[in-house]
Amino acid sequence: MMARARKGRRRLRIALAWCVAVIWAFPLLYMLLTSFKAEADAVPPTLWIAHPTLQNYGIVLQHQILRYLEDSAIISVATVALCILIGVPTSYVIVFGRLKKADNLFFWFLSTTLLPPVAMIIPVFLLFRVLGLLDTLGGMILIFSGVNIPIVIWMIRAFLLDVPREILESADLDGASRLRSFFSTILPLCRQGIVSIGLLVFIFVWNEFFFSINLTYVNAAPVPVYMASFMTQEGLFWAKLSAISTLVILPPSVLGWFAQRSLVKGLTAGSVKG
Amino acid sequence: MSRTLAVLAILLAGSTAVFAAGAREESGPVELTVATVNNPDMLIMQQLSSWFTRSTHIKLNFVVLPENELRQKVTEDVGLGSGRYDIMTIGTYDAPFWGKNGWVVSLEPFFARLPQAERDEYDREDLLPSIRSALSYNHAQYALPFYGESSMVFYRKDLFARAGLTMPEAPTWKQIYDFAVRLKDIEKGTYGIVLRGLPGWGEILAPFNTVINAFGGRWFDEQWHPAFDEPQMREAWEFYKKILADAGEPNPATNGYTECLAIMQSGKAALWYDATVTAGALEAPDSKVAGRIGYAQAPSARKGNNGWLWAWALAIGSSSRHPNEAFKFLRWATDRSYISFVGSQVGWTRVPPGTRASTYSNPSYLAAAPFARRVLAAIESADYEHPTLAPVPYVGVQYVSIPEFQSLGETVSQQLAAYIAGQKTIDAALADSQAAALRVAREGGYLK
Amino acid sequence: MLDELNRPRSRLLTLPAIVIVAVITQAPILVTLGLSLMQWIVVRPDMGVTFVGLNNYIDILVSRDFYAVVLNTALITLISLAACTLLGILFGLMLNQDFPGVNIVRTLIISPFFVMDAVAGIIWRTMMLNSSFGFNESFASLLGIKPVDFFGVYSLLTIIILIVWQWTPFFVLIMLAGFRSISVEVVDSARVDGAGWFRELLSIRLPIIMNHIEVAILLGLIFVLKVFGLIFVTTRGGPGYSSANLPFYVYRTAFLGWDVGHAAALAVVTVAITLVAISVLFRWFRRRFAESAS
Repeated sequence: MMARARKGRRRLRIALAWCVAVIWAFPLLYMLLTSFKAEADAVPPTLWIAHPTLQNYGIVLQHQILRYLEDSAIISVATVALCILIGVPTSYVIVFGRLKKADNLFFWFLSTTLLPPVAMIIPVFLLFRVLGLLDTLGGMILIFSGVNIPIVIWMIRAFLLDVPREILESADLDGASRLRSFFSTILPLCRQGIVSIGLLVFIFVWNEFFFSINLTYVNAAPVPVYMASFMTQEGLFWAKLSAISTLVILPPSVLGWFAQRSLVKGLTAGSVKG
Repeated sequence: MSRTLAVLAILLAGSTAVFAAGAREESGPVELTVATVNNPDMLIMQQLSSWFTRSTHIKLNFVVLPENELRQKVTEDVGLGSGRYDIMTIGTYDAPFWGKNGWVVSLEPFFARLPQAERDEYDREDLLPSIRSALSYNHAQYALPFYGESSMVFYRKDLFARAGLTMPEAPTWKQIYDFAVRLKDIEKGTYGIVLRGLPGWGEILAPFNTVINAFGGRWFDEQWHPAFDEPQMREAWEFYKKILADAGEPNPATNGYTECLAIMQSGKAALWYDATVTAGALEAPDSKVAGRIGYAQAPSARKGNNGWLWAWALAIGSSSRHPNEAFKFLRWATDRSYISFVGSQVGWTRVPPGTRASTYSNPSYLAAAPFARRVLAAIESADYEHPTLAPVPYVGVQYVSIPEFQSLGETVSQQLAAYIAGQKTIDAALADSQAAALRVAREGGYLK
Repeated sequence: MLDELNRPRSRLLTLPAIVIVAVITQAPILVTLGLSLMQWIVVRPDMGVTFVGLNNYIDILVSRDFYAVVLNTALITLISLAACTLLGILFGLMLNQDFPGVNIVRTLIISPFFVMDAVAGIIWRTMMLNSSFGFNESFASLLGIKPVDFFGVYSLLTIIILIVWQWTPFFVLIMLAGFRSISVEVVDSARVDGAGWFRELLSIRLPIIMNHIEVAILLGLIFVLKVFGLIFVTTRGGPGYSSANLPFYVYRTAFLGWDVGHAAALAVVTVAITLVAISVLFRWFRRRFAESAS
């Protein structure tokens, strides 16, 4: 009796989860749908496709998109790599290093991300102009890293603080060298955290609109610049925008899908049962 | 320790590699960077530009952006001293003060240096005079137009016939109002009229400024005192809200040009007043109202001749290192043979409108675009220099041609939107607009 | 090992981070401070660039619009953060189960985060909430009522809804990671017999993931304060200034008014306000949950 009730409740929870998920993602599912509609059918809204077509994808997949994708990929991956390589060890030292005024240091790192990108553009544009970094991949990687490293530091901090004291102390007792214990013990424990933060930084950089448009011209233009040309037009554009957005959303979604494996693993042995 | 150094070294090497990859080679044929707006005519030009490259060996790198982002980027480029665009797309709003600021070069010396034969072939006189003067400053032309438009009324002939109404050639706004009220819900859910309501100096203010002009209002008087306290201005505001409320689409604040086009094209509205280029879109094969659209002049009230004037044009940046090659492209993209080229390659319905008189005497174009003569008449008669009844110190029909208008127009359009949405009373909206305009006039040094 | 970290050599590990972060981000802040003391209107080169001291700040502090914008920003931030935290916890719990297709459900919930905020704004503005041809209009005509004026009268509320829609996934990710790190044994040993899931949530799970909640709220605060793209493509801060937040106000001043000096001053004020908000929040968290320091 109890088991059946529990099973029924579980089914209800699963159904609820599905409902919430579909409703929550509905605008994007609808965008996916619209990408296959003929432009004239994009509005008013219909849940079916009157004249299914791939012509929108044909229009947005011009050969020049490859260059934008390539630039985006390089910038995003390099930024994520730089942020993790620099941010994780820094966070580690600040959390465990018993530094004086560790909190102030954390704050100073965070304070650097408080300036909204809109406000940063003119100063950064001027700086980049002087330094010759306008329209360069390196410039974009630098600015994106600078903005995201503090976030990495903060998020890894939360995961590091989750590590139980016993594990830390047992590693100490083993006499293992500092770096080795970092890599062998601590790192695997926050691996899911690192994967999550890597994914987040990737998404931030991949989708970043304002810096991308203002600090690049032709040599380092990432995908958002290409997308901008589909964002308003003197004529209907929603089906085409849906198509290009669906394409652009694929890399983060695919990465997010794979990142879930890490998200699912628990901290200590044994999986968590719902 | 050594391990840390190794890590640092790898990082350094890695970033150097990325920097090196970012720098591209600077040798070979001349490369021009072109900043342009993403309207259909420019996209076609981008497509066809490979022909230009083939015959002149000048490579073109296009940066295509929507209007707002484009203006922001090119202003940033010249204003902050970067100067990387050889060719920039600017509008009739921008050209005068861009020329004045020295951000783009005068084209007069380039024309003067042209051999007579090429000058004749280009035929500057063929460019529509009103647009030519709108792209000039101090009698020097700073940009060559590749797209031009005015405004007119579009109406559904079939719905008019059903209601037994006839549209006069030159309607008044009162007549338009009456038509709209009559036609509202003539079919279920039909709007009597659809009008732009999206805030923005290039969105709602484009048609609305012509309404102000029609009612006899103006933005500033001859001494640059803001004129939002004039009764005619108030009348215009009240009229626009009233026609939207009584016969227009609900909640117009999200409807810019594209949304209005979607509404009209799907047959949901009986009337629309907007840009002349719309005629082509409404007669396109995928339009549900193709063949059922009639046209009329921009409506009048106390003043007639209210069609607006706008052109997109190509200009050469003053820090361009290849101005002669840039001029070559400007000529190629705006001369007569380019227009025929588009006609033959892409189709005569897709030919860039509103730039040359010869386009409008071309039989192929006239056959493809039955509304063409009317568009030409609207553009030719638009009075860019005397847009209002009472004298004004500025030029521009649907905008005030001062650099501060981008911001002032945005502010006032937001006040208008707040008034239309019922969030603000007309007194408050007009008072705030007046205050904003006064600040601009003072700080910009216009009002002594 | 922990003591070893105090040696100067290990602090070298922080040097790359400090150098890069400092150069990249402090430099713009310094330039911004400098610009805020100037008058420089890009579109009026004839007016030149002049030093005006604190005039820009004074202009801002006496302007009525500024306070309206600050109020909007505060409302947007507080309400969004509260809603995001709540939904983040609820969705996190919901996704903390294993059932067939749970990966798909998770990806769906997180998907708003993957799309560019400008694109998301356009989808909402046209396909969902447009009063003439969006789902808004379809529902309205179905129910026989006038379509809701989402972007007119209710602009601020609509912006908040959009922000919550887009940023809840961020909270969900963090909360989920936190819930996932709670082992079954810990929960079982602390559980009081007969206590319902709500009680369990409040007294057991939430305290364990307090670190994660803290990070989510602090970072969420920063991100929500910086929201710009959504407002830019939907309401453009209007009607009037009713849905303008500080970043959008900076945009208007910098890229429509081209008034670099005022924009820079606004940026500095924004940073100051954000800094105060974060330190207050941070200290509150420290005091309430002091045991989390190692």
